[in-house]
Amino acid sequence: MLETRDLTKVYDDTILAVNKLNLKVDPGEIYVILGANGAGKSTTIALLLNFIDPTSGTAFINEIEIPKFPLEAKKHLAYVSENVELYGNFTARQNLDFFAKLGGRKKVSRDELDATLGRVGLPEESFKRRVKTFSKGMRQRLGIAIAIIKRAEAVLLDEPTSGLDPKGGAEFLELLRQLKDEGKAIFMSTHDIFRAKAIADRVGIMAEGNLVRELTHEEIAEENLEELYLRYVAGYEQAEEAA
Amino acid sequence: MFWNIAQKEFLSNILSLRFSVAFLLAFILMTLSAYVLTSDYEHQVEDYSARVMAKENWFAQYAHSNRMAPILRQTPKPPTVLSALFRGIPQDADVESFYQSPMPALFPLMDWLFIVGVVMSLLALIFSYDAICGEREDGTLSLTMSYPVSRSVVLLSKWTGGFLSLLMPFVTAWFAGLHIVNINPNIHLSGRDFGVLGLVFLVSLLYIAAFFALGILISTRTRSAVAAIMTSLFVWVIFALGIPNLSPYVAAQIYPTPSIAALEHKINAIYDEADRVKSNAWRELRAKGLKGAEFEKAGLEVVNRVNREVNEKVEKLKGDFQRKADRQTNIALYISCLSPFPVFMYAGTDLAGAGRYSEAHFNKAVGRYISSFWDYFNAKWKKLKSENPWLAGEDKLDLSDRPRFQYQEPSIRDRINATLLYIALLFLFNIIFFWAGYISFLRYDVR
Repeated sequence: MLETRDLTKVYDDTILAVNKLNLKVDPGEIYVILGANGAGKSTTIALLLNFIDPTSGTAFINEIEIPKFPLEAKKHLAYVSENVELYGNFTARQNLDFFAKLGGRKKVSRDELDATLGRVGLPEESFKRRVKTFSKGMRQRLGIAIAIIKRAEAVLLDEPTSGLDPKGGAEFLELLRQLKDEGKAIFMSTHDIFRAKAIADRVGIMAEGNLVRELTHEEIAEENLEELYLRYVAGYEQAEEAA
Repeated sequence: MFWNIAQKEFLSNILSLRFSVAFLLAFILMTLSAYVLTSDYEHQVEDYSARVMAKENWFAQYAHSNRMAPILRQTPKPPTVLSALFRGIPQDADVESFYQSPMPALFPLMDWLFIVGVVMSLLALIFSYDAICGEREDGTLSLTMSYPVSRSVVLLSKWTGGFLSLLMPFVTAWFAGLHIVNINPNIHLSGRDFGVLGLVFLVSLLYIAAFFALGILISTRTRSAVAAIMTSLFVWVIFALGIPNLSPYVAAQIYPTPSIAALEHKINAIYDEADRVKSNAWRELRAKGLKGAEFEKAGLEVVNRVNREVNEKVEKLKGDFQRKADRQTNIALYISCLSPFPVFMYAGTDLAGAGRYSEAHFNKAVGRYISSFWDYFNAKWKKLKSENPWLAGEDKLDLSDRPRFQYQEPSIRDRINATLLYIALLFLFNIIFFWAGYISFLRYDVR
């Protein structure tokens, strides 16, 4: 479904942001990429969405090479970013309708819009409220609704739970589980180890642009992820310094 | 895709505070300006009639041949109906009507061209400065770009939606102001006036579009809305105030011309020299022993010769000065064309019949009239002289059958021809700003 092959990004010929990244996310799987700030998580998502061109290597979604056919590839990708302000002067319904149409949906019924908003847990009274009055958690839910209505096979989430309270975070993860159950491939970046452990089918740990460790669902359950994460991130930095 | 984004942009702007502010500002300024200028036009018409009447009276009472030339040169330009909206180059009549107050000189009345040139250009930047960088800050740009939509479509649709939203206050204010002019019983707009209004309207759109594209360009060159608005204001000051105001001074540095005072000094020196030559010549004639009619004849020959030489020298000096001044003006004009604001003002005033072209057209008409008047006068003088050999320059003449000055404004076709270059330049500004914005957006990091 979603795959990277030796995906590399070097900024200004000097800063190695992502180094020969190879990973694969299957349908109905949640892949969580962990890493400190600057590890290359967001750059990886930017590469997958073709916001930036890779220096070398490539990525695929449904066998479509993303850097070569970005517009075609984007039909199969939905995106939820860390801070979705959305269009503050529009209502939740108007925002959802706009992005549904942007995704190629010619006509979206009001019932479908309301059903999608209801599904992500937004109260009915908020459907016609201007988004600028929404809390961060409500905006994140709306962001998920926007991703759902696009009906894309893969969903990319860039630190979507940062800033959410525990209840909001838990509800958000529940939404991701539902998407997984629908067969979506979910690729999420975060530095929230506990939420990663709670939801991931696979976890990748990134440090300084390198995928330094990949854990399966079983390994996640067996190992102390926090310790592992700290060891890998710190260890990688030390090894780099020694080299 | 295109219309979705354009529609979103349009609605998003309409629901914003800046739209309400722009609507109020454009509406109040344009309607108020139309109302005030309409009253001013009525004063202009009264003033013009009074001047024509005064001239008629002068010809009836003091028509002396030796006082004719300055009166002819003071031919006033009839006010045009459209000066109720576009003042352009101020007429003497307006200045005189306010001669007691320095305020109009300090704070000139805003006409529609000024409002479009200054206010609408600023509003265009305010509507567009955050089109890209503002959405980047809100995270909606990256979300939009995660959809199968190309950057060219995003930019073009944002331009279209944003520009249309900006046109709403402008078009509403334009037609409201026009209504105020149209309901005035003393103002009758002809078909040609409406044609000119349509042309000025189109040129205004072209000008506003250029500034809107400039705002988008700035938005694609900055990462934050604060940086974009600061940059926009800086660029606006340079374009709307800096370049137009500095261009004459820069032109004067590049191509200096002598001052009027220096010219007058040279001319006076020529006259002084001529007086000296005449005195010396007369002294020599006396020294030769010439007397009576012989002395007068020889003296007159000298005077005529010296006067002819003086006239030639003075005309040459004035001609050189005028050529240099014209060249300096042209250099200033070329420099000012680096900014869309002066280009728009040249195009707008020329189309409205209140600009440089119209001024030159009027001056030519006055020149032709003066020439035809002297033809008439010389024929008349010859006839009257044959009837009365003792007729002198200070004698009053009956010139009631003289030709009257009738001014025909330049046709629409002539005005368009005169402004084609400026219109082309406005197109060029649009293309350059939008293209530069597009290139910049292609490289823009949407995250």
